[in-house]
Amino acid sequence: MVQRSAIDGPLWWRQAGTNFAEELVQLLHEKVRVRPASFHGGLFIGRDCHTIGDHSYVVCASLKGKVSQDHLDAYERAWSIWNRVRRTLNRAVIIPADESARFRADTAVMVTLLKRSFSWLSISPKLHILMCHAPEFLECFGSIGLYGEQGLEACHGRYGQIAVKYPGATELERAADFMRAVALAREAGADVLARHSPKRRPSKTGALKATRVGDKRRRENKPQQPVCHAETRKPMKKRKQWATAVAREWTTTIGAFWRAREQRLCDRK
Amino acid sequence: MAASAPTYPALLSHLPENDAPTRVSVVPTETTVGEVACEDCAASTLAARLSGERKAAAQHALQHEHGLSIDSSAAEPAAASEQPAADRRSSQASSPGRDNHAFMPTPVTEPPEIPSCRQFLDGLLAGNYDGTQDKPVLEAVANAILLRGERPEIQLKHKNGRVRLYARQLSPRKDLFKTSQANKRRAAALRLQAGNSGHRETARRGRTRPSGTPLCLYIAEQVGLVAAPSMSHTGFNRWRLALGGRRSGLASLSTLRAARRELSLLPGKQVVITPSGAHLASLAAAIQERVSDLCDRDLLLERPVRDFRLVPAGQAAHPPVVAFPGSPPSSERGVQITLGLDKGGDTGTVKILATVINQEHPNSPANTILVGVCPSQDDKYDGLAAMLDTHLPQIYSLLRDGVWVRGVRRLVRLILGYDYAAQCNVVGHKGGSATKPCLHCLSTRSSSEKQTALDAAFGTLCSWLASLAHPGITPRWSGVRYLPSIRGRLYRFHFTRRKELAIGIFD
Repeated sequence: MVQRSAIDGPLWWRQAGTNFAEELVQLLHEKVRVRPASFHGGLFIGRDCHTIGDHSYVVCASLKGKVSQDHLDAYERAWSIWNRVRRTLNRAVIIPADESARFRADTAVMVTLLKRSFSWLSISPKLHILMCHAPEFLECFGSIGLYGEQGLEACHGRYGQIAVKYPGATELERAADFMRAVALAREAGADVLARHSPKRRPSKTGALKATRVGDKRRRENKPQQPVCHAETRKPMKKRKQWATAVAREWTTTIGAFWRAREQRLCDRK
Repeated sequence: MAASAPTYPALLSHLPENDAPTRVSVVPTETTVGEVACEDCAASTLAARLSGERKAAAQHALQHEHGLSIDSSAAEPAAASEQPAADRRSSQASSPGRDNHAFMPTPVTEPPEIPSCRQFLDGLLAGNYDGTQDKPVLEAVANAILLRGERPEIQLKHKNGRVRLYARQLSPRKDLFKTSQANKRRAAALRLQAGNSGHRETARRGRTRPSGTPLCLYIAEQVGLVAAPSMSHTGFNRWRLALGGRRSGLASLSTLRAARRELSLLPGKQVVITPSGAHLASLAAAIQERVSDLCDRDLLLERPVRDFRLVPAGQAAHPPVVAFPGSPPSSERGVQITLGLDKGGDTGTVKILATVINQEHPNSPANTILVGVCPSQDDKYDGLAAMLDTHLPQIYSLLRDGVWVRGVRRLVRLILGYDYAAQCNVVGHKGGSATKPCLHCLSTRSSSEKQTALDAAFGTLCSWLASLAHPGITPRWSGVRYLPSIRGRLYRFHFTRRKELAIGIFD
């Protein structure tokens, strides 16, 4: 949502278009190292949401000089609030009561800020649920991440990998064999594997991060690997397709918003 | 100094490397010049024995050269009684051949002539024992003299007449040492242990691993481990043989097959095939089995539910509030169970998953319960209704009877835990394009003239923006949250022509 608003802003001032969308996705690819998923409507999935949130300053910096300062300020503020909200939203732990109260305030402020600053933004049911019902659920059950559907999504991947190994004339028989194996596998849970495995202490915070400029773990200090031209052309082609699709979507969204607004003005006259 | 130098490692090797709080060193303390009398003549016995052995060995070699053989069977018992324990071990270790007798110093027929200590010293100073073969014996002599007893000082006279006095000093070791030093000490201790136990288990890359205790895995756990990564029984048996067969602690194939058959007959693990897909025969039994397993391993966590006033259950001075109709009151300690379904994967299958929230990582694949896998090209209302119909009686029984937790029956809080699209499909809702798109309240999607009354009564999705409140929210979500009530309601909801009227009636 916030990222979509980043694309809407340039259109509002007629200073950017499809080229900006392409520049943005290239930036996300090279600096943030995320790319849209092919089979999810061109969206970023998985932990990409958190990765983009951690590097939101890169996206904000790319907008400087392209949008008005008011829009940029609102956009940066929305990112900062969202970075707090997502940590509470996706953490699979019991959230303290004060953090729950802050979550309620943050969601209300964020959605209101987005709607007021970017008036063409439509309030989807998910955004409505995030603001109105997610805080209630959090205050009642103590967590939202605990009740997530990550186990279900992992089950899809596991079924795709393993089910083909089971003999069966039909998909249904293979599914039944898979279910029998999974039911038996519950006898050896995660605690069984951890019983005899060596315990490792967690590393210190930031110990694995390359802090020095000359650290060889940094990408810029690593030797350049030869790049196949075919592999270079394919991401470029995908980026152009993504930029075109996004530009088409925002043209439709904002065009509908402007038409409705003009219609209301005409009706008043 | 030259004679005493080899003795230092020998001295230190007798000290425990890992636990010794002090380190022993021998340092020269005093140097004098002059004649020092031999204080300790006990070394003469050892020197005499060694001299006798050398003589006997020479005689034996001479007889062997002349083709004579010595029948040592008669002389051995007598010699064995005089022989030290170390020599007995060396004689037992040597193979029983004739040639070995040439190197055995024990067979002596008459007691050797014992030279006096003075004679031995003179011979030593005269250079009679400077051969290469004499060095180990001389070293043993020096060790026997220098390491004997708890003498605080050792005197040593050099050839030039200089006498040095060595004193034993104890220096405390550091209480805290770094990781590398700890690793060295640990490795030294492991080497000592491996040497004491008579065998050492050497892995690749030169690493030495201590012999660990045998694994204690129940047979059911072994069945689970084999089933989890789809390992074949043949592969498991190869691992078992590689780890030592029976000594590895792993079950044999016949035991494993019998346990697998026995486990497969449990009601929580039986799978039935219906036209809609493959389903667990008894969802309630599977959940009860999982809860009992968590209780047995003491891994069941309490997840208290707060009421809307943010008061944890059981700590409120106020009367308990029933947060959701059809669910246990917040004061009751229940077991939270989510039931979700979603369509995904390359082949397009709808998976139904149940999760017990009262555990550490409820979303981990190892901690979830796969309830059903239904090959389906779409996840519309009718198809999902057929899939869920298989489990509805079990869900009703769960909600009615609860589950047993440590001998006490607890109520179940059932929560639908899947995404928005699946929730809409389950209840027959139109989704985001519906007039009332939210499943939890009656807010309309946008204001319109046709729905003025609804807008006024429940508001729109954006109506709260004006006051930062949400006046249109009603407890509609309480009915949506719990499956049994929603199924009964939504059947009617789905087939009602005027949905707004139906919503008004049911809410």
